[in-house]
Amino acid sequence: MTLAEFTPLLPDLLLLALALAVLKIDLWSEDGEAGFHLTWIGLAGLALLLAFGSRSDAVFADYHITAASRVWKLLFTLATLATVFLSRPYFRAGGNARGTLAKSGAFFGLLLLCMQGMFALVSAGNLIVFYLGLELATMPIYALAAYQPRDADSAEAGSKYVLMGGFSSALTLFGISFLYGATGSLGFPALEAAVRAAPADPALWGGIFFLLGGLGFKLAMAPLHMWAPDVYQGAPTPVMAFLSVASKAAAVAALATLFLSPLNAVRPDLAPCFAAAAVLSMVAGNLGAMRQKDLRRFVAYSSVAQVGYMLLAMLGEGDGSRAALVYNLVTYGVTGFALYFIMGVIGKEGPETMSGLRGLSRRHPGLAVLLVLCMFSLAGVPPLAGFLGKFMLFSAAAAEGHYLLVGIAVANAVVSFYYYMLVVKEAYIAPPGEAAAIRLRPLQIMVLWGLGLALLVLGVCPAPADWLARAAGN
Amino acid sequence: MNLTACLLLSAALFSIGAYGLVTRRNMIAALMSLELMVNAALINFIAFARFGGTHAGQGDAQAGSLFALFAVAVTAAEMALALAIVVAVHRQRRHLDIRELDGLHG
Amino acid sequence: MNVRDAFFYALCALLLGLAVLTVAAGNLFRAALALLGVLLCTAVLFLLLQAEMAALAQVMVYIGGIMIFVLYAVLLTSELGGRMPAPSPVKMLLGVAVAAVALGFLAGLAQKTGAGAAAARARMHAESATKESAASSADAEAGVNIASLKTLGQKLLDPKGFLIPFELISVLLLAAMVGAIAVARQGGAGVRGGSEPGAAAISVKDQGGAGAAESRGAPP
Repeated sequence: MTLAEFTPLLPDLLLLALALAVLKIDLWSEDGEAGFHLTWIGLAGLALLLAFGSRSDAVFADYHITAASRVWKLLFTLATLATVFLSRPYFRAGGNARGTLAKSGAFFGLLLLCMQGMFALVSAGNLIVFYLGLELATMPIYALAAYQPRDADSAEAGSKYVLMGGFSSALTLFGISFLYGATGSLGFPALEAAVRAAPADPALWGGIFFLLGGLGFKLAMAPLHMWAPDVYQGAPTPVMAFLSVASKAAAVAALATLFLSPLNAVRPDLAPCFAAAAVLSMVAGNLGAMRQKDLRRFVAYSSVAQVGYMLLAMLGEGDGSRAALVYNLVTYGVTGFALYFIMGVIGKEGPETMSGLRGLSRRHPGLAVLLVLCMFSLAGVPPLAGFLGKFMLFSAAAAEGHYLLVGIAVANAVVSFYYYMLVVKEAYIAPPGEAAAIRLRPLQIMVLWGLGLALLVLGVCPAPADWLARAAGN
Repeated sequence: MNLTACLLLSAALFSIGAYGLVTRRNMIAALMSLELMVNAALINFIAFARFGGTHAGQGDAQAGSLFALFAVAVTAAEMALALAIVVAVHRQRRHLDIRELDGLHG
Repeated sequence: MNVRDAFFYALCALLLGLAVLTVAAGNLFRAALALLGVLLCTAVLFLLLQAEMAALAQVMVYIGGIMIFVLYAVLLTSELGGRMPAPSPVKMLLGVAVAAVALGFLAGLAQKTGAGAAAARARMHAESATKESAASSADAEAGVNIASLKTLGQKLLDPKGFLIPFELISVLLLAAMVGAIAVARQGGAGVRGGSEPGAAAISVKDQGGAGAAESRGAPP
């Protein structure tokens, strides 16, 4: 093997080097500034490399570098980059009313290691890389959920996540053991061949059943979503952001990696299963979100509902579904992060709850407008990004004739409009307490403008969608 | 001693672990129940590697054994992290009762 | 039933008995010891199934590593001597129901899988009998080690084999280590030195709050 053959593997190797460098630099720098700058510069470089770097596909044993995997990796990188920016004020003394996070180097290092797991997950060509990637993508978050120092809620969130995560990985492991029994090998090609040869094999179905259970927990799809509200609420806000966007994307990618390629042949048989989980998730998420006062908990339920919409794509045909999933995750990520940055801003003075939003229209009119855009996008109102994301998901399912399901989903989206408007009401109509003006930092202004523009552009301009669809399709 | 016997053993072990996970209120005890479930999966792997599964043709026996090795290492790492978190919870709350962890609610 | 089978069934009975003790013992330390027994029995089972490497890992990593973690956690949280409260009858009933459903489902799955595997093996035997001598499958029957240390080791470091998972798991262990240290270090200051650790933690939290309030007043 020559050195040139490793070029497609460069992003993965650079990410590992970056993670190690960030962990190392933390030992020398006391204030964590160096770690922060190294992390965001490294991640930005990685994103550029993934978007414009080598386009050649490669296979290293069972590690596949494909165009689709590059799109997923780009998505993970951007989500992590946004998380790193979001976490900035949380490490500053007085940056957040809940308390200051310490040791940013370990925090960023864990985020990067987690990303490495997600990279492995989407490049997996056999079940062992898949399993290790899934574990590596989850395990650092156990620690990150418990990262708020001397905070009982954060520790509790960590313990709940570790118990649920452990249970989910036990299920996954059990499922993989049966898949191994059914195929005699761990490679995806053998799995695909076995599915084709004997689609009714009991060991195969046992494996799929347990695997779906394990992934369902990671995805927080109803009825396996009970952990999500507690963990989202207890974890520090940047970690919640990472959980709801990057980690969710990784779980969706895991589902897509398995069920849109090697197990594609059994997907029609699983359609009722996905449909039931989709409807349950939408209903449970929407009903739950209505009653929430805490914004992090609200995000948790709203993301459960989003999972419901995304499961619709699992009913559609392979390439279109993958493109719809990726595009919806992009729009959800942009919308979500805009909301989380607003939460970060109000969190400086008070709690990140509904009442903390009170009087936002007077304290900072621009932020209030962005909040309205976010909520409209989450509800799927045209012409915002969230609308196009949902539209692609629904049309992927409708293309296969699941009209009833799409109808239920549309009805749910309409209902969700109600509680998203409750948030807007809080910002505009509810009487403000003290109305101190909000001052933003330059970084925050830049990021908020960027996300706001992306919200509008991704909703009206289909070019990025086309590009993603083409890249993720093949 | 055959495949069915080993799979039945692992099924029983998995169910006992599930019982423990539902009934145990102490977090460390719940984690130990989780270990039983993981152990059941390991038995599955080794049994399939030894006796062959439902597939046609020669399976890859080494792959199963290696997966078991990896799973052991992953579980060890997970357990280390879990127990660090358990100790952190204990430091904040002075108890490990899952049912009384109710600081988080809507 | 030969000696090997008798040993196997005795081992199974012992393993399951210890597993029940693990989930039902009222004392956490006793439960941990029972878990140790379960893991040891599993290691012996692996030896019986000719997977010596897995047995070795079971003993070294699981029993040597994980059990030490568990015992440390039991000691650190000072739950060593105390009796755990018994689960409420409702919880117990729920647990039994869950276990029964899982057992029913898995036992059915085991039966069907076992039958399927037997059928697959019979088919393979029939094929190999017509073609050539069934050397490879006969080897497996005769108990050639399914995964000796040497072959596994070579496969583990073979670029075409398991090299990438091998590297991945080192990253995973690093992540777990960093995570565990980060979590363990977080609350440290609150507990150190006070006879009332809870109170100490609260006072530190207050100081942190005061510091935050001060710096909040400063201009950005």
